[in-house]
Amino acid sequence: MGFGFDEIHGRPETDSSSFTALLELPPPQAVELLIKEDFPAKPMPPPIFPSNIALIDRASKFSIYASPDNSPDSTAILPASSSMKLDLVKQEPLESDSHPNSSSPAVSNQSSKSGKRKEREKKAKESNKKSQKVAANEASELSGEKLPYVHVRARRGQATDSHSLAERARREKINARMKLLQELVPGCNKISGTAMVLDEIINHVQALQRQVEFLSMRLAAVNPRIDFNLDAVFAAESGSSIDNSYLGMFDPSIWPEGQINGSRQNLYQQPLHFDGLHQPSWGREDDTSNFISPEDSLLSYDSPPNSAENGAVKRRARVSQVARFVYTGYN
Amino acid sequence: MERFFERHGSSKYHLERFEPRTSSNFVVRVNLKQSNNQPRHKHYQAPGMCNSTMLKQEFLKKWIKGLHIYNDLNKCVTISDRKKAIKLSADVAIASTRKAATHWSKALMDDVVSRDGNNIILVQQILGGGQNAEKNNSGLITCSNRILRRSHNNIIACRKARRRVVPRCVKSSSIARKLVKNKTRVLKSLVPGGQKMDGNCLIEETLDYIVSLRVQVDIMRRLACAAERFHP
Repeated sequence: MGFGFDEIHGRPETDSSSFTALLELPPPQAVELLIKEDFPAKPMPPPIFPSNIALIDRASKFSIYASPDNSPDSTAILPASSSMKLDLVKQEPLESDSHPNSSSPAVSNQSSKSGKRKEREKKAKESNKKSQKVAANEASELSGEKLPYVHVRARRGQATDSHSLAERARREKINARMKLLQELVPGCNKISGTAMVLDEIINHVQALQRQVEFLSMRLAAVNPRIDFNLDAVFAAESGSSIDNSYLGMFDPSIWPEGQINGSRQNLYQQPLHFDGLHQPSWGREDDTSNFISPEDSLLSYDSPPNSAENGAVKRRARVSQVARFVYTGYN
Repeated sequence: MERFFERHGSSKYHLERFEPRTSSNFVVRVNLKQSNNQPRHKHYQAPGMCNSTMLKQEFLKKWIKGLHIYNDLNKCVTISDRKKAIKLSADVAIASTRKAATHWSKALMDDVVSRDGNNIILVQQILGGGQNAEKNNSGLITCSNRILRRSHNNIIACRKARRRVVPRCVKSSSIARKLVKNKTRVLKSLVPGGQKMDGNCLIEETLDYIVSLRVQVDIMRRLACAAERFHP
């Protein structure tokens, strides 16, 4: 398998077969992809590893790091094969496994060279993933990553070519989002298996949509008017002490009734004030519950709302009541 | 259905104080912050949505705007008409709170626009006033989405044609894959605009859609209960 590799690079390699075996490489084209793509101008010698079981394990676990500088290194020289193990050990600080030969890592010059080679290898992989990851990361707002690259670690015993890595990264992203969905949908935490979780999600979405339909039917049945006397509804809520302090902030006609107030301009200007009410009032919402007795306003709503004598008062009360309506609930 | 409401309602809301009820004034104070969805779990914050409270406010405002508009139009006589108008304005309101940041909201707005025409454009103009500029972009996006969808369907058709000769195997993994595929197909039919999404995008959109649906249901339920208590 590795002989084609030799021909590509025009260099007789004795241990190239072990290289490909180590990385569990499929066809040499994958290797071509790895090395050639990144370094078209430089004939890079492939990293040569001695055939060693421990080295196979380690090599299969190499990870890809994002390196902002893609400065290629053209001065790598193949070191002697025996020192490769140590170099690999040095270059993978994140590996948790202990290498049997990690006791003597004192090969400085060769470590630097192989370090560059390792970096090149990593960069080769990483550049393959970069294009895939950048596009993917643009869309990954959920995971909150703002990095241009994704750290992908090839796991033990798994293929390490770019395609499977990309697929694995994609799969992991999908799994992360499925986990978020599981937490969102009630009752999905105990279920394992994508199909069941999807089932629950589908049920939940269908239930929510049915609820919307049902609720809109309820609202339609309440009152012949479409806005079903919203003002009266809001007037049914009681006031609290905060309202008096905020009444001054509002223009009287923030919430026009359907028939009285034909102009719609107030409606659009006022939402700013609307927001201004809520934030400071939230903290004091809980303590008091003074009742502005709404019986008078209730009674006035039974007649068509043309009474202008307490129009301003009604509207101010309504404003505060709408504000509180968002915060109080009925169940 | 009511049972479903009650179950979900009690789990969502934390009653702090229940005042004795006179004829029409009573207060059940509910801490809105605690009524966020699943406060025990890691809270999903949809992109661009800072606070579910603000989302609810926005939805309520826009929805009521839409309701007032329909009331002025005076077109809705029967219950079904009213129901359609209410649901429509609720849908437009909840889609416009996302401000076309998600696929499903765009698809929902497009559906609404294409369904009727006149009234809906009116509602649109008022509710989504600043989004007319976005409409042009969304038109391009829908065109490109249509192209994507057609190409996607072509690919699927080619694959199906090729795979007809493959003998069926009864491996568990293939069964699982088939199940997942069926379910994703159903989910795509549920989420608005889901047909043109791939798996990744679909899950994101579902997340966002579920959160928005919850907001919608929450506010509508509160209003319905309040209205019913007032008009028994």
